This record gives sequence, structure tokens and C-alpha cells, in this order.
Amino acid sequence: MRLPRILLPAVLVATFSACSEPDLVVRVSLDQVFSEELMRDFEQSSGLKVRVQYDIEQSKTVGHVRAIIEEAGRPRTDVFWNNEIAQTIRLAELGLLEPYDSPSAAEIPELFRDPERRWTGFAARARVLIVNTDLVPAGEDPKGTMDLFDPRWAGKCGIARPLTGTTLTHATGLYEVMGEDWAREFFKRVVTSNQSGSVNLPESNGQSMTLVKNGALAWAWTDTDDFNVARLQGAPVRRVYPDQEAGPGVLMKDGAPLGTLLIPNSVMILKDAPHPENARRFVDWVLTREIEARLAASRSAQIPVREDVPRPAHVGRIGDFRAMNVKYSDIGATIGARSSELGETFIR
Amino acid sequence: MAKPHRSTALVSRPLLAVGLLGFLVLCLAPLLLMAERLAGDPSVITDLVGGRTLLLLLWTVLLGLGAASIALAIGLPFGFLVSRTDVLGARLLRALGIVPILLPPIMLAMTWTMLLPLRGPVMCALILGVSSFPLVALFAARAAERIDARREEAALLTGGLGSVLAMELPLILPSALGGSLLAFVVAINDFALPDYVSSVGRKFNVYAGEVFSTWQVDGNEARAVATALPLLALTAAVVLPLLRARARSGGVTIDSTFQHPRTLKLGRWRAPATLFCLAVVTVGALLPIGRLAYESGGGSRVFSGVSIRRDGWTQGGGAAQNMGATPAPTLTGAGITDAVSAAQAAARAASGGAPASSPSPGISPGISPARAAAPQGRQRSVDPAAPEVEAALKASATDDLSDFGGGLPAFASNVASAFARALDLSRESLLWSLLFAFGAATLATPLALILGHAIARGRRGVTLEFLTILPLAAPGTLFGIGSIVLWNHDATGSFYDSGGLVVVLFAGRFLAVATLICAGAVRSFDRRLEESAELAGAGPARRLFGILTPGIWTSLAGSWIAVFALSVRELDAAVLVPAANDTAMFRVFNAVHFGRDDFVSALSLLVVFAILLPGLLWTLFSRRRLRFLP
Repeated sequence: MRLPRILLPAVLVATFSACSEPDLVVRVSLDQVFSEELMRDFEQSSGLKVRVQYDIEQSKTVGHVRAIIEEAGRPRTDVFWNNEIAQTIRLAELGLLEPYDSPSAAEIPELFRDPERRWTGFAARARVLIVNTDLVPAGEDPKGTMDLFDPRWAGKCGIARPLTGTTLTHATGLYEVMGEDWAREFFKRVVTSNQSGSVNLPESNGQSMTLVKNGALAWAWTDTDDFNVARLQGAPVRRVYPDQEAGPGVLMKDGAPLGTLLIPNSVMILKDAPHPENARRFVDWVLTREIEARLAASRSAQIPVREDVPRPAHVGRIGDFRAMNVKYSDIGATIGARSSELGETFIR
Repeated sequence: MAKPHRSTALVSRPLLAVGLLGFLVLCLAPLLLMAERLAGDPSVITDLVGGRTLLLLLWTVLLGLGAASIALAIGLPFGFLVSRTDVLGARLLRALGIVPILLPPIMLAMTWTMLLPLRGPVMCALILGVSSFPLVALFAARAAERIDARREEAALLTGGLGSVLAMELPLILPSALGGSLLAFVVAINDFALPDYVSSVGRKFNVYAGEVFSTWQVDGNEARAVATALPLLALTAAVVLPLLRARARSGGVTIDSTFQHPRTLKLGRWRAPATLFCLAVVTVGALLPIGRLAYESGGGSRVFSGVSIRRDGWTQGGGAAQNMGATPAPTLTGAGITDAVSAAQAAARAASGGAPASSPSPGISPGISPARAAAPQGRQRSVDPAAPEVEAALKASATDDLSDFGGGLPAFASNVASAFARALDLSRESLLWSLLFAFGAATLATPLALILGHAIARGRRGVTLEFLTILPLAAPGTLFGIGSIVLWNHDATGSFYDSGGLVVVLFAGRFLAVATLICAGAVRSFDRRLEESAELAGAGPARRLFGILTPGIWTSLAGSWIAVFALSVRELDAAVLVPAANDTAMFRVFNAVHFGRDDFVSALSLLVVFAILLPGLLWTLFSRRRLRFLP
């Protein structure tokens, strides 16, 4: 019994004290497998002790945004590095963000910056179709949103339920651009098609990618980072930017193809952050060209929003494809209500 | 067997106050703080009553019933066979039979969806049933062991084994049904599994998914809390009768006249019975674990006949590999993608796909010289000198770093390197997981002993027991957010930021399990010993820790191990708390998002090992059998 008597207090003391006060607390929703090394590098170069809170695919917005909202009375987070933008705008509208005009962001296009400088966008992803090249011959690729309902893809295509992450942002974007009635009908049709077995609803973009990679589906909606992971894994896949040129399956808006949604990362300092000075240091660091270049060269293949940032050829440039013309502020303002409505549509 | 009378004389009020205070702080306070939000808008409760909600609840109940039935169908015979009969390796099978309930169901799902074409509610019920059959088996086994030998011998003399089974089934069935009701509760609270299993085909939604989804909408906190109520009500509807029945029958103490039943000889049924038990353990535990082990060695690629050796990996690669330390150069023209495509096309060609572009047998590209001599299987047809192939292999850091081809020797080498990488990258996470789980189990067990004692000996035992189960029945998100609200204040700020919060969070979530185990153990302990000690002048603490504890210490160890194991695999509430971020389970789920590779498989196995570690140590070093039930 002597050993436990010694061991127990030692373990308890270690547990209670080991997580001592950090110099900076950062919540990161960019996947841990992509962001962890960057965070370590910042820690080493700055000499700061950083506590990083990652999220998991299953929790997404419930994890970070909900925790930030719940902590608002006594903020414990300094910086939120969000891998998308709509939830960022939600937080801004709730008054939970501190304006900061980072010098590193000077050359980031205004499209990706909040006019009040509460957040800054960088390193974007695009919504794409991941296509299994073993199952879909070249030249027969799906072309756009409405291909989900094409009988030739019945049972072979998929889109993650738009309840979390970038799929929810995408769905909210469709509401904003195409109008409520259209979007409502569209998603009802997706649900009906699922019930008839023609459209599959994977649990996440990551699983959409896995199902296509393994040949369980011919194609599915996902993000460019998920596609790139499949590509690097040697899977027989190719990427299709949806809704680019008029034709069957392509969603049109005012006579022109809709284009695909571009979703930048966004970084922001929380209001009343416990370590504001260090928070600014981190934001300055993460918005540098070097970090955007590293994100482009990384396995997540993020698309730099600054034209002159170097990138591998497979990453491409924002002008290479037609992007959906959408106001991020509109998406952010309505994403909560859309989430509720989509929950009622898809969970039944 | 003597039926004890109930009295509160043995329950010490100061100790009970300590236990209740601990229970209040750890378990109830987070939930009460959440319930307070309902007061702001009680109308949300009436809003819940609608066709969609009812339909979701119906599906949820059906899923629960399906899973509970499967758990009963497997667990009842399994529990009986391994505890009472001469099936081969009964003790080992019994120990292995616990494993499925300790594994995250999603791990079972990942294996099963690869092996079976079933999807949707049937597959979901099957996985949840197999995952939770140990609950039934535990109850059935203990009930079977508590049948008096004299009664059994009489039945044996009358009509052989058939008569014994006919006599014993009604005695075991109520306990087994109790276990299956717990399986029901586990099943109705799971939403990730139905979502995962119905990714292909018609979506299968359950009510727990609605609870999770509602939390995403802000300004709607009252509704988010209210959505948890139907599940709590369902749990209460199932658990309360179970607790009442348990209090009645479980209160029976095995007295000095009890004779332990002998091992039943199965005769010609021994082989089929052994095969049945082996099949159950294989399907529920060995197959998922074996599959992970197989994949940690490179899986089918190692035996595919394609041979590639890899080199130049940085810090683990795979899901573990993040990004280069310096910016990559801008590539133009026939850049990386083309080279990768060429290499991939060649690899597919070698495994029977499209024809290879440049056949040149017997060569392994991208090989580090030191490893080129390693045994290899049939070679693929690619020119290693081709610059595009070399560039592709260096640039396309695949998620799975295991060698292709090479058969068993390569498999063994891959396993070793995958575990080395997993350990290297996740050592700290594993240590944190162990530390948090150790702290939670150590904090919960003494409290559980006090509460369990009050439940077994006190006047309102069933009510208290029901209250202790609430945190387990509440959604993890609800409990996690309640903990933030409870602890994130200036006065408790340091604690909130420390690992202490994680310990408290885990202990609060799983105190119920420890308390249930302890309450059962106390009920089976002869109260006359406590009464004698009281008459001899022993105080409450001495009676509890000096008289009772030595008598039920195997159950206390069981409750400690149960809390430990559940804490290692906890994720739902932990994901909200900053200090709980760096656990091994967290890392597994982050990595698995991008598909399983050798690293993820190795890390998953390390987590499984961590979950099973205390049980394994007990099995190795203790001669006493661990008790989860009295």
C-alpha cells in the first residue's frame, strides 16, 4: 500500500499543475494534422508557451464556437484560427471579436478582410467534386450541382449532410445566392433522393473523400484539402471544379454558371483576450506570406489569397476557376437560422 | 438466503454529506446550470412535441430495442457458458468478452462496414448489440454463479443438462434483461455510429443527432437543453424499473449456507459451445483489433505483389505528417501532379490496373539504399531512374508510409515502424490520457464507495442511484458546456485552465458507473459484519474503509478500472475543454478523418492498449477475479 500512497498525490499534483498558465491560447479548427507543426514552429520561434485547442471532425462548430460563446463572460481564448468564415462572422456579430489591423494583412484583398478589421481571411479552400477515375472515364465527369439528380449517377454520388463545417457554409451560400425558395426545394430534393437511394449522405467531407477513394462512390462533394489528401495517398481520383461552364448538371444564376464556393481560413482576436499582445504577435505571424506559402505547399493545399505567394502547381490560383459570387457577411449573418432549418430537413 | 431489512443506521451522515457534496459538484451542478436555461423559455418543451420528433424517437427506440435484443441473444448464452460450463479457455474468453464494451463503437463500425454489405438501421443495431453484449454477459454470468449448487444438482438428477437449463433460465433471465436494458440506454444515446453506418444508402437518423445539431444554433440555448429531455426521459423509463428490480433482488446476500455451483459438463455440446464463445469474442474484439494490427503493417498492399520502398519521410508522415518546414517552390508546367500521376498509374498497372508506361521489371523506385536489400515480393514494372517517378515518390508523401510488397518480413518491419512513429508523435498524448484517466478513476472510486454504500444501506437508495445515473444519460455536449459554465470564473480560473478540470470532468461523467458497481458490491456484503463493527465501537469511516472495503475490494478495483477505461476513450465532453485537448483519443479521431493508415492504426491500437492496461495488469498479477458485479 505504500507505493499507491506515494504515487497518488504525485499523480494528482502533476495533473493539477502540469497545465500551467500559458502565454497564449489559440483555438484552431484547421485540422490538427495540418496545423500542428505550424503551431509548434510558432512556439519555438516566439519563445511563447502556447496552448492549442484543436477540434475534431465530429464536433466542428459545436466545439469551438460554442465554447467561445460560453466562455464570453470570462474569455480564456486569445485567438481563434477558423478554417472557414461563416462562423467567424457569427462571432463578430455577437460582439465577441476585438478589431486588429495586422500589418501582415496589408496586401490581402479587401474581399477577405472585415471592414472593421475584426477578422482577416487567408489561405482558402474551394468546394470541389472528387471523382474516382477508375469508375468515371475521362470526359464523363459530373459538371455541377445538379448532377446530384442525374439518373446516371443514381446511388453513386454523395454530399455530406449540410449540418456542420464547410458543407453548412456551402448550403448557406446557396440560400443567399439562389434564394430561399430555390434552396429549400433543392435540399428537400436531396433528402428525397437519398430516401430513394440515388444520393448518398456521408457523415463528413472527409468520409466523402474516403468513399470515393475506395470506390464506394463514383464522385462526391468535398473540399480541396480533402481531395489533396486522397491524391497524396495515391488514390485514383481527380478534382472537378463544379458549375464552371454552362451545360447539363451545371447550376446557373442569371444566365451564368454559379461557380464554386471559395472558403478562406480566418483568424481573429477574441474580445478581452487574456494575452492581447501575444495574440497580436500570433496573428501577425500567421498572416505572413511565408505561412500562406507553407499552407499551400502542405498536404492541405490551401489556395493563397495573395497573388504573389508561391505555391505548387496543383494548388492553382483563385482566378483559375469561377468562384461563387457571394457576400461572406450574408452567409455569416444567416448561418444560424439555416443550420436550424437544414437540421429539420435532414434529420427526420 | 436472508432478506435484509433496510435501515439507515449504518450510513454515516458526515460521510454521506461528503459523498453528496462531491456528487453535486462533479455531476449535478453542470446539469443544473444547463437546466436553468430552460427556465428562460419553458415553451421550448412544448415545441418539441411534433411529428418529426416523435418519428425520430420511434426510430431511436427501435434501434435501442434492436441493439438490446442482439446483446441479449449473444450475451445471455455467452455469459452462462463462460461462467458455468467447461467450455475450453472459459476464463480467457470471459476476460476477452469484456473488451467490446471498452472499444469505441466506431472502431467496430470501421471494420464491420468493410466486411459486411449491410448498412442502415440493421447494421447499426448489429454493431451496437455486439458492442454492448458484455453488459448482458456480465449480468448473466453473475446470476448464473449465484444459483445454489444443491438446487442445480437436484435438477441435474431429475432430467440432466436440459432440466438444469430449464430451471436456470428463469433465474438468469431477469438479470440478463437488466443488462440488455443498459445496452438499450447505450444505444439510444449514440448518434455518430448511425451517421457513419448510413453514409452510403438511405440515411438513418436518430434523436441523439437532433440533440447534437441543435447545439449549433446560438440564441437557442433553451431549446438545445430541452432537446436532451426526451432522451433523459427514455433513459429514466428504462433505468428506474431496472434499479427497483435490482434493489429487490440484488439485496440478497449470499450467506454462509450458500454452496457455489459446480462447473457444468457440456459433453458433446462442449465443442460447439466453445466455438460459439470464440466466434463472439472474435467478432466483437479480435477482429477489430486484428484488423487494426493488419493495417498498421501496411494491410493488403504488403501482400499485393507490388514492391515499393520509401525513404526520406519526415517526422512520421501519414496522418502524422504535417507539412514541410520551409515553403515549397512554385512548380510550373509538368510539375508535381504529373509526376505523381505517372507514379500512381505505374503502381496501379503493377497491381493489375492499367498498363504500365515503361515496363522494366525488377526494380524498386525511391528506395533508400539501406532498405533496398530488404526482402521483397514480386517486383513492379517501373523505371526508378525516371526523374518523374523519383520526384513523384519524394513529393507525394502518401499517408501510408508502409512499404508495398515484401510479404511477412515487410509487414513486421512496417508494424515496428508504425508503432515507433505513433509512439514518437503521441507519447505525450498517451501520457496525458493515462494521467487524466488515473486521476478521474482515483477521484471517483472513493466517492462511489460512499454513494454506493448509501444506496445499498440507505432509505432512498433507488432515488439516489437514479440521480447518479443522470450524468451518464445526459449528452456529452450538455455536460461539457455545463462544466465550462460551472468552472470558468475568476475564483476558479487557475483550476479551469489546469488538467484538474479534465479529471473532474471525467470523474463526473463516469461516477455513475463506479457507483453502480459499488452499490451492487455493498448489497452483496453481509451487513451483519458492519453492525458488529458498529457495536464494537468502530466509527463510520473505519467501518467503511476498514471493514467494508477489504470485503469488496475486487469490486472497487473493478469500478476504478471501469472509470479509467471510459475516461481514456471519452471525447464528447472533452472536446470542449481546452486542457482536455491533447489526449490520445482526440488525436486518433483527428487523424482518422483522413482515412486509416498505418499510423492511425498503430495509434488506435496504443489507445486500445491503454484502455485495457489496468485490466491486463490485474489479470497478470492478481489471482482474484475482477468484479464489476457482486
